[in-house]
Formats: sequence, C-alpha cells, structure tokens
Amino acid sequence: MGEHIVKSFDDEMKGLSVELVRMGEIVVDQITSAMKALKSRDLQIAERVNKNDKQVDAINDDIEERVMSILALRHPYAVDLRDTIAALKIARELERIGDLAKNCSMRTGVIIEDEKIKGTKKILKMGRQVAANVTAVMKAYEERDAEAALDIWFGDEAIDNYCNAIFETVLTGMMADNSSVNACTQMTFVAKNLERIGDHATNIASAIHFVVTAESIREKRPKSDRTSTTIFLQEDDENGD
Amino acid sequence: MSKIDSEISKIKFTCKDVRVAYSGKEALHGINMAIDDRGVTAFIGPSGCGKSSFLRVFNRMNDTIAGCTVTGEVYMDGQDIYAPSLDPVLLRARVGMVFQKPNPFPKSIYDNVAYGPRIHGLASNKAELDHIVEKSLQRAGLWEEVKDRLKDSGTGLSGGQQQRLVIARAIAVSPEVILMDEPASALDPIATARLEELIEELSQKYCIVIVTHSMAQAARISQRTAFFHMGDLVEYGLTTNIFTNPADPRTQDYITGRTG
Repeated sequence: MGEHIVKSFDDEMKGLSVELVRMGEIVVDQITSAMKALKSRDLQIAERVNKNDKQVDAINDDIEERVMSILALRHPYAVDLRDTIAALKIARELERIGDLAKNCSMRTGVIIEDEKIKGTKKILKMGRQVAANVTAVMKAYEERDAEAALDIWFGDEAIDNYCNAIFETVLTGMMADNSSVNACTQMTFVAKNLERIGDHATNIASAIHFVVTAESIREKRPKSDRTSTTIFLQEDDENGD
Repeated sequence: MSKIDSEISKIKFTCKDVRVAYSGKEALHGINMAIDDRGVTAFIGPSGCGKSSFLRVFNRMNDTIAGCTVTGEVYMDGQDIYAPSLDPVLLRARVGMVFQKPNPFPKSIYDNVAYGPRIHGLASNKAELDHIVEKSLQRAGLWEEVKDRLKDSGTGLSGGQQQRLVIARAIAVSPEVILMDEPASALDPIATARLEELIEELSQKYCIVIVTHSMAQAARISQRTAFFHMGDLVEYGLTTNIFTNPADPRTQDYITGRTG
C-alpha cells in the first residue's frame, strides 16, 4: 500500500501502531512477571506488577486520545478507518489483559502462604502459553497478518484445556485437604484470569482479521472451557454415603 | 464495475458504452452504469477523471460544448435521450442542473423561480404561478428567509441562499432528476449543511446525481458512489462499502489520500 500524500497523517497512523505494540509488550511482561512472582514466591515482583498496571492504563488513555484526534482531524476512510477503530478496540483488550495480570499477582500472597499447594506447575505452563499467545497476536497486528490472527483465534482451545485441567487438580486438592481451601480458591481465580486473557487475545485476533480483510471471522470459535459447569464429586459421595 | 442491484430500487438511467470526446480526444472510455430513480448517487474522482463530463451526459449539456461528442446509449425510464426526435430543451426541464457557482439570473427572487414555469407554460394565472414560486422556495428551504423580499434581486442573496434559490428555480419546473456539479464547493460549512439537509429531503422525491470533491460530503449524503479515474468507471456500489472496504486499490488510494 502506498503512503499518504499528507506525511503527517502517515506519521500519526504509524505512531498509533507503535504505541499499541509497546502496550502489548508491557502487557506480556506483566503476565510473565505475575507468573514469575508465583514461581519464585516473590511478593516484591507481584507488587511491581500491581504498580505497573497504571502504565498500561496511561497508554490506553493515550491511544484513545490519538484515535479521537485522527477521527476528528483526518476523517479516515477504508483501511485507515478500520485501522483506527481496531486500535481503539485492541487497546481496550490489552488494558483488560493488564487488569487480569494485576489480579493474578494480587492473589500471589495467599497462594504462596500454602507450601503444599498443587497445580502451580500447570498454572505456570498455562501462563507461558497465554503470554506466548498475546505475543503472537501482537506480532500478527504489527505485520497485519490475518492468517496468523486466525491461527491464534482457533488456538485458544488449548488454553481452555489447561484451565479445565487446573480446575480439576485444584478442586480435587481442596476436597482432599480442606486446609488449603484459601490458596486453592485463589489458584482457580488465577487460572480463570489466564483463560480470560486467552479470550482477549482472540478478540484482538478478530480485530486484526477485520483490519486486513474488512470481514469479521465467520467461523464459530471452538470453546472447551468447562469450568463453569463441571462438578467434581468425591468418590464416597458418588457411592451415596 | 460492480453491478448495481436493480431489484432494490427502480432504475432511472441506464448507460451503455458511453464515450465522451473533446475534439476527438476521448475523455470517457465506454461507461456502463445504471442510476437509481430515488436517492443520491455521488460521482467522485480526481480532477480530469471525467465525472463532470459524465454528469452532463444525463441532460445533454455536452451538446452545448463545441467539439464535444457523445456516443453510446443513454436511457431515461427506458427512453433513449439521444434519439434525434428528442428535444434537449424538454429533456433539461425533466433533468435540472445546479452548478458549482450559484448562477441566479439578474432578476428578482420571484422572477428567478417563475422563469421556468413561465417559459414552459406551467401556470395559467398569477395565483398558480405564485403558488409554484412559494412551494419551490419552501422545498428549497429558502421561503422563510425571502418571503418578505421577493422583489429583491436574486444576486443580492448570500452564496448559500443563492445556491438554494437556484435549486428552487430548478425544482419549479417539476423535474424528475437534479444534477449537481460540486454544489457546495463555494459555500461555508453552515450553508453546506443546509444544502445537504435539502439534498436529503429532495432525494425522497427526485433522482439526484452529485459530483463532489469532498469525500465526507459523498459519504454523508449519497446512497451510492461511483469512483472515476482517467476516464474509466473504476468502482460503483453502496457508499458504505466504498468508504469502508473499496474493492479496487485505485479507489482505496484515492479515498484514503495515498499516492497510487
């Protein structure tokens, strides 16, 4: 695609894109740090994630202002219009991801108090996968790659499966040892937060697909998250005792 | 060219292989197009793309330009408007035209509007003529501003008022079509907004074809947009589609302000 005749319009559109990519990098770092805090049982890292969320919010505000300015002053059409609107949508999704990463780190304190808690390894693995998805979706944004966006959109099922497995492990652990209920409850929230981050990444993928093709993704997204409907029963309950 | 969906609206004009040449040099290279009976169709494109030449095809205004030739077929409600038997003067009563620069006659406001009905014999007495003048000025959204000074000169009005006066003059002869060639380019934003509001109202009753250099204006007021480039009709379709997802890269470059 050629460049705009008005160079400053090009600069503004590129600036918007660069800012969004930077926001994506910070958000991925927030997820990774939240997981690191859990892994190394380090509350200082968790606290840093809490504080850094303000930076994500500030970039979101900045992107909103940039979008308003482009809409008011440049009257974008066609691909420029789609790009501008998508930037607003993607920034919102990243802002929500930032909130969820912060929420994960806020729960670290209670989780690490429990020395025996099970499922941490699975959570960390899920966290890595989720961070990789957000990184990949932002790369797809940077390269305006609709095919890559579609792959991420379909790939979210893997994250749902992680979430199901963690719920099973953690709930079974809770039933076996009710002294870990507090930590286990927080753990389920962390898993659910990560699962939601995966969903936000798919929303970003959908926005990228629209920017490039001007069409929404028509296929139904495969969903495997069963955590809201699954009931885990203890064996003796099943025997009717 | 994207095919127009004739099932949605009745077709007013059908053009087949229309070519316009000036002193033998072709400016429009075989345009095939159908224009809806109601609503607004916008022609956009860079200067010299042929959009104004094409607009003038619909009321045979090109006939008045020395050295200009038009070939191909143009049908209005199925009738060949280039048939030798057709009187272009009568055609122009059915297909009115509004130009870039308001061009009221150096006559009173009343006489400007009454001019057409008088020469076409549309009123049998003064009361009928008064009625046509009032109704036309009302439809053009000018009546309230001029009703107490109908004898004042039309050229003494502001630019926006003059443009609405010219529209009143055009609709006074009950045309079926109104062609507009950049009608708002000399108007300030308020007068432009009034004109656009008027175009929207008129589009319920008339077939309106407008040439505009303002993308925003085409996007705001038209239901269909045609993009012309170097004498070709590149793309024609629903305005919403043209401005959000044009099919041709040339349209995209033009409407987004890119170098092709």
